[in-house]
Parts: sequence; C-alpha cells; structure tokens
Amino acid sequence: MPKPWNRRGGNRAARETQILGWLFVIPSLIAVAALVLYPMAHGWWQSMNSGGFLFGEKPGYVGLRNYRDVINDPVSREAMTHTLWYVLLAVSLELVLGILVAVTLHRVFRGRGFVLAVLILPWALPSVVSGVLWKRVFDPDNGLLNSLLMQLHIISQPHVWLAAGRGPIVYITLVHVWGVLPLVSLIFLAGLQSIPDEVYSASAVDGAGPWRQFRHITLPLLRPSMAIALTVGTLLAISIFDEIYVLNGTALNTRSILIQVYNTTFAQADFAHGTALAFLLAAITAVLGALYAIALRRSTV
Amino acid sequence: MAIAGALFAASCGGSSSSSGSSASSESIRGQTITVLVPYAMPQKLLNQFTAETGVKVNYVVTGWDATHNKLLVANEANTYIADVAEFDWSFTGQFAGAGWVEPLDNVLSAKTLADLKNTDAAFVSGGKTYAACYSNDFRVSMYNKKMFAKAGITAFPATFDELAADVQKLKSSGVQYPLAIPMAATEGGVTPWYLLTLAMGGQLFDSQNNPVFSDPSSAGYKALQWEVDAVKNGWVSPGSVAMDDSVALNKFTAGENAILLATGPGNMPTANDPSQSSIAGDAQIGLVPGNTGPGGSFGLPEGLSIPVTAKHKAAAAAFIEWWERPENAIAIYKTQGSLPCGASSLKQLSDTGQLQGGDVINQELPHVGPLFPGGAPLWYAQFSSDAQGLLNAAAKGQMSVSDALNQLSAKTAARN
Amino acid sequence: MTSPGWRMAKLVAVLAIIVWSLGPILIGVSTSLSTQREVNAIPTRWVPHHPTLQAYHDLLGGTSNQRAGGTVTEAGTFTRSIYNSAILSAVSTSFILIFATMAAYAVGRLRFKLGGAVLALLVGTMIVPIFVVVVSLFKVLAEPPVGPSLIDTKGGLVLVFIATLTPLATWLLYTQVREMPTEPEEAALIDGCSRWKAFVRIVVPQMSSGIAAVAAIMMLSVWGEFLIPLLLTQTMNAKPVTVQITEYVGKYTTNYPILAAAGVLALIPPALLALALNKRITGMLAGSS
Repeated sequence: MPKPWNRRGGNRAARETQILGWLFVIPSLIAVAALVLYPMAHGWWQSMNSGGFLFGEKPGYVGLRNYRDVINDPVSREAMTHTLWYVLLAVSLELVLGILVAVTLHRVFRGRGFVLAVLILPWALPSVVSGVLWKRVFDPDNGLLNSLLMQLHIISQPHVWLAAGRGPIVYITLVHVWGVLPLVSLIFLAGLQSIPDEVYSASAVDGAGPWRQFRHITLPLLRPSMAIALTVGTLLAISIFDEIYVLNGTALNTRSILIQVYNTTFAQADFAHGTALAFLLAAITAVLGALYAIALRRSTV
Repeated sequence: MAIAGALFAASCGGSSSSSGSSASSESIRGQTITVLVPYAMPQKLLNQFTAETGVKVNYVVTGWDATHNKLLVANEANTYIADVAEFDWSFTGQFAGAGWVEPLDNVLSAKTLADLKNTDAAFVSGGKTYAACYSNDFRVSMYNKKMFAKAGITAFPATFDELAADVQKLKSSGVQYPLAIPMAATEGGVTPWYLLTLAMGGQLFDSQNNPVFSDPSSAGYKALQWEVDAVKNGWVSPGSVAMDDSVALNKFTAGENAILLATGPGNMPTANDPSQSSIAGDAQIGLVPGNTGPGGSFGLPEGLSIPVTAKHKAAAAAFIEWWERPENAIAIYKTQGSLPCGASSLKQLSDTGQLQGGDVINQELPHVGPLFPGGAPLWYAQFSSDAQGLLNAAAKGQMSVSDALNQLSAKTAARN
Repeated sequence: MTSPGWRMAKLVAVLAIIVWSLGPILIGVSTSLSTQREVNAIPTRWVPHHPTLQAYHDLLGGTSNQRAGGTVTEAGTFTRSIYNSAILSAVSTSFILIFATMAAYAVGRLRFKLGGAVLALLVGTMIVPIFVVVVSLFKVLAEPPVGPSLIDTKGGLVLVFIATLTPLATWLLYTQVREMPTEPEEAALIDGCSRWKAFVRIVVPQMSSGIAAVAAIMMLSVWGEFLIPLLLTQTMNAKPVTVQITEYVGKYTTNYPILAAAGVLALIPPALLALALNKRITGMLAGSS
C-alpha cells in the first residue's frame, strides 16, 4: 500500500525520509559498533588463535582448530545436550505461563499494581541471594522441600535433590523459570499494549466470549511478542549459568555450555577455546532463532 | 638490574631516615597505589603506611572469585588493574608462564625473602619467586569434643584405622553422619581428596608433575575410594555430593557432624561463636590423621604480587615489604585473622602466646607442604576443573573410582 | 460478559502469581531475620524462634568482626551501591529509550533502505554471550580512543548498558510501531507537520504505554546486570548492588542473614518502580469485554 508521504512532494520528501531514517538509527549503531561489534570481532580473532603459553605453544593463528577441539570434547558435547534440555523445558514453561500472567494482568483491576510489584520480585532478586534461598529449599538435611514433603507424608526419607541423574536438570530449570518469568510476562504485557481496546469491545458486541477472544484476537496479535519472548527466553536459557553454579557447582550431570565456557575462560584462562565455544553457542542460538521465525511465519498462514 | 636495585633500595628501609633509602622513598612519595586483594585491612594500618612512606593506598577488597576474574581479564587485555595484586598458590604456573607478574627475587629484601622461604615455595616457577605470602592457610581437622565425650572417645584419632573405629562409636552414640566432607563439584569439594592423598602418605604427582593416582595401590586412588565408601557407608550425609566447603562448615556448626575432616584453622573462631554456631565452645582443632600417626597436610598460601602492568612498581614493592614486617603482619592477623607466613612473625606469635589454637597449629605446621613441590604447574587450573567434575561423578556413583581417576590421569598426562 | 466461573479462574490465577513469586522471597525475609545459627539449625526453622534485626544492623552499620574469609560489611557501602544501581538504571534507561524509540520508528515506520538489515544487525548482536566480548570490552574502556580510562566509572557502565540493551528495546518498540494505527501521523503530515514534529507530537505519545513497559524491562535489566559491572568496577565509585552483594559471600563462610537482608533491601527500589509504572502501563478497562 503506497504511503501518502512517499507520494507527497515526490523525491524530496522521499530523500528526507531516508536521511531521517539514518539519523534515527545512527546513535544505536555507533554504541553497538563500538562496544559490541568491535569486541566481538576481537573475540572472533581470539577464537582463531592458539591459547599460546597454556599449551606450550607460540601464540598464532590456528584457523578452526579450537572449534574442532571443543566439538570433539565429550564433556562439551554433553554440556550441549544438557543446554538443549534446559532451553526446551524452560522456554515451553515460560511461554505458557508468561501468556497466562500477561493476560491476567492486562485487565486493570484493584490491586493490580501490587500484583505487578510482586511479579517482578524474582527477577529483581540478585542471583547470588536467590541461589542461597533455593539452596535452603533443596538442602537434603534441613531443606524446606524435604521437611514439607515429609510432614505431608509424601516421602519418609529425606531426598537428595541434586544427586545423580536427570532430576537435577528439571529442578534447576524450575529455579531458572522462577527468575525469568517476570521478564517474559512483561514482554507479553508490552505486546498487549498495542492491541486497541476497540478490537475487544467490537468482538464482544459480536458475542465472542473470553476464550474465543483469547484464541482469535489475543493470540494472533501476540505473535510478534511471541517471537521476542521465544528469543529472549532462549537466550537466557541457553546461557543458563548462575542457577547451576550456585546449586550444583560444575557437576557433570547438570553442566551447561556456559558453565563449560566459564570453566574454560575464567577458571583455566583458556580464552581461545572459551571464545570458540561461546561462538558455537551463538551459532546454535542463531539456528534456533531462524527456526522460531519460520515456525511463527508458518502459523500465520 | 638498575630498576630492580632502585626498587630494592626503596623498599628495604625500616625507617625513612636510614641512609640510602631516603632519596628513593622521596621518589615514590605522593604516589597512589591500587591494591587488589580479597581480604579487608584496617584503615588505621593503611594510614601508618602512608605516614611512613608518603604513598597513598587505594585498597580494593572484592571476593576471591571476583578478584581472580578481574585479574584474568585485565591481564589477558594487557591492561593496568592494580599495583599490588592477589596471588593464590594455584596461580603460579599460569601467571608466571604468561608473564603477567614480576619476579620479586631482586625486588624484595633478602631478609624478607628468607623469612618467607617456607611458604613462598608455592609461588616459585622456573627458579623465580612471583609473590610474597601474606595468608598462611593449610588444612587441619576440626571435631566436636562434646560428641566425642558422649561416644566415649578421649582423643582425636591419629590414624585412619582409629578414625574408622571412632566413626562406629559416634554412630552408635547417635550421630547419624559422623563426618562432614564436602564433595560438590567445586574447588572446595576437591581439596579433601588432595588432603586425604597426602595424609595417606602419598602424592598426586611425581617430581616431574606426572599424575600418580590411577594405580589402585596409590594413595590418590585409595583416598578417593575412601571418600566414595564414606558416602556408601553413611559416614557422611548423602547430601555431601552437592555440598561445598562452606556448607560443610555450617553442618558441623549446626551439630550434625562430629568431625570436619578438612578445614582452615581460621574457621575455629566461627565454630565457637554462639551467634553463628550451635556447638560454640565444643569445636577443637585436630591433626589430620595418617597411616601410622598424624599425616601430611598441604598449604594453600596466598601472596602479594606486582603485575607487569603496574604503574608504581617501587611503591608497590615498598607496600609488600611493609606488610611483611612482623609487627604489621601480626597486627593484621589480630584484626582479620589471616595467619602470617614469615617464620619470624610465627615465632613471635607463638612465643608470646598470641596464636589461637597455637599448640595444634605448631604441631601441624611441620607436616604442611605445598601440593606441588615445584609450584603449581601451567595446567593446574585445567586439572582442578577436570577433577571437580570427575570426582563428583564418582562420589555420586555415576562413574567408578577407576574410570574417574583414569580419565583425570589421561587428561593431565596429555597436558604435562 | 464476565461469567462467575471466569472471574473465579482469574482470582485463582492472581493468587497463583502471588504465591509463586512471593513464596521464595518470604524465605529470604525469614532468613534475614534469623541468626546464622538458626539458619543452619537442624531440623529446619522456617520462622526464626528468636527474630532479630541484627543482620540489617550489621549490613548497614558494618560488621565488628572483620575476619578474613567470612562476611565483612562496612557502614555506608551497601546504601552507596543501591544509589549507584539507581543512577545506572535511570540514566542508562533514559538513553536506551531515546535511541530505541528513534530506531524503532525509523525501521518500522520510515521504512528507509537497509532498515531491515539494521534491525537484523542490532538483534543479531543479542545472541553473542558476553564472555566473548569481555576482554576487549575491558581494553576499550581502559584505554578509550579519547579521554581517560572508563574503568570503575558510572559513565563507562552506562555506555556498555546502552550498547548491550538498545537492541532488545528497539525490537520490542519496533513491534509496537508496526501495529499502531498510522492514521494519526498521516493526518498530521497532510496538515503540514514535519516528520520530526509528527514523531515527537503524535507517534511518541501514541507509543507511551509501550514505552513504559519497555522502560520497566530496561530498568530491571540494568538493575540485574552482574558480570559486566563485576569486571568493570572496583570501588564504590560505580559498584552496583548486584556486585556489592557478592562481596558478602566469604571465601570460607557466608553470613546468610546478612546476604538475605541485602537481597530483601535490594528489592525495594524495583518494587516501587513497578508500582509507579503500573499507572503508565494501560490495560483493558474492566468491563470492556
């Protein structure tokens, strides 16, 4: 559909639009270029060079060797699998719960401000404090969960929650979702801001009930926010770190990629392999992002 | 050498009026140095240093992990971060190998270097000393004397056989889990294994730093088997597999366990503080058991270093010299508790009866050696983080002891 | 149109949100009112038998016990870190909102050439983990092309937050711009308004509730930033509360009540912010459906 301002005044207005467009994005571009893109390029260079002294080598260009090394490392591969589990569990939970929360809080009601304030607390709580609280919950000897379950006679012996097996991944994911849900809910809530009231009142006149309104108005209109929530949720889950580190250290059965990256770069000062692993993680994120984009486009048809 | 000489002259004078040093200290006067360490220092003492040398101190205290991360990033970026910086025993191979810190052999006075010789062995790489020790930490055991009395045990076990017998006595007297041993996948969950290996009369590495713990007859293998059995036999809580060292101390002070096998002597006051501990007054230090009598232990000293990117190296050297003087080291010990490293400071403390838990500490000190007699190797950090995951997996029963140690040994041998 | 069953479901949802969010926070409040001894006590004490404000007293007034390896606090530092966090959040968010609103409008409404590519570039930077850039980020800030080192300054941190968060804000606002009715702006343009005037007078007010929601997201994101300020600050000059709180984790022992007290106090400003923004975030009016 041709826009009136593109026809009005012809070329001059069109050129003005172009110039204004660039002027409007330049501040963001400068900031991002100087403090993200440039350091990223440097990180890329680091990932293509040898770690030098750590391997008794002279520093120098090694091509994709570091990438091959981390892909061939069974511990990194296992961490990759764990990370995908974290993402799958966390993102699906966050989407469902996030939409529910946003739809609940979208309507103005008495006390909504209080609920909103309470909602954001888990996100605002510094991760080191939240770690200590959840440690108290999961502690096998004097933890809340065990004492609660034992009082309810659901279990008779204290359970070690962060032991071997797959269970710990699920518990850690729940802790992660607890902290991230406020953000995802706010993203959906922000998305609902752009849906004009009249759309709902019109459909109400047509006799649509709340469920049909949700299914046929809210959900389709939330699709752009869904893309953002999916991406942000995935970014946060794929870089899950604090929750694991505080609750279970670098244990092999819960280790995520970012724990492995941290171990490599910070604990071991091996920046070459650490950045290579981080770029691989970014590549996976990009692939997931593309899949989301395709899936969301499909669902519009 | 000219620079080193100047540094030396600037730093060795006990008083500013002594001949030769006044000109040099004049040259550092008015400078401000940044000191980055994880432990607090009373402002009063810093003011004394400033009054003495004219050097102002920007004393930055952050957590140990944060300090380590900051140093890594700044050093990797080849950028100034501090004039005097923390240097843990575990940094030695890495930091020296990367050329991130100045050797101090020609910077500090011969007297100070000699005084610190014992602990500074952990900071030596390639024949050069890279730090001056200020925190003399090592591992001892701690026990609950009330629980021991109730179980009818009169003395802390000296051997592992006695320990096994005492654990049974403690269990029958009602202590469900007599021992507290952290086994989480953290640095604190690995040190008990180091300690047990030394206590069982062995080493983890030979003189060439080759791993010697994969053979079932080796002390390292036995030590890990002992830990795994402790979980299986209910000597420790099943939750130990997700417990780090600070939680282990908490459990001990809550009265859940009778013995905290590996801890720092600096935790004694915590365990005996009624606001923090349910067993205040009952915590005692014990010598780490061994095969035939109290066994070996190892030190985890922390030191002060001068990064190569430091701006005021002469003033930094003067600050280190000042810290290491017995009267200052002792004053710092009294306010915040890090045990001095210098032989003369320790002797003075001991002679004047100011050493807390003095008897046991004096008995343990001769058994304390560095984990790596030649300084931590280049790959210590990789070794430690591999060990965290593998030992934890063995403790959880996800992996056999021999699988875990064979993997660790193979990875380490490939790096050495 | 609202049936009783629907109203009931909504009540349940609101209660669930409160219990889920507040439950663990209350454990924190209880921890902060305990002594270390009661926190560690076996069996568990979920409510301290001897509640005390000692942790708050120690946190704000400084610990008398400065033992190495334990939790050490100093009078004034915690409140200073809260102040730093508030300044960092407010200043960063203001710049982010200005930059992002402009960029979102340019890409979403002006449709200038390469607009799509610019958005893709901005969003693309979000997928790179911060570890990758941290070393060179440190170098750029320590030795900037012009001026003194920005390490340990609020200005340096603000720059980094702008660079790392503007992409998300732009994306969020872009979806808004795309879905807003274009008629008001078109009318203004036909009336002879300049593009800039139409943007400031018509578009920005139209976006205001969305901007408020994004402001909340940005302020909280800055408030929660940890790794970057951990590495880029040293002293109380710029250290935010998230970093300051980790200082209370000792190498050998951690005083949980003090840590919890710090966590509880650090929640107050974000909660107040949410209350304040509640009015700006419009919702469907009750009874409109």
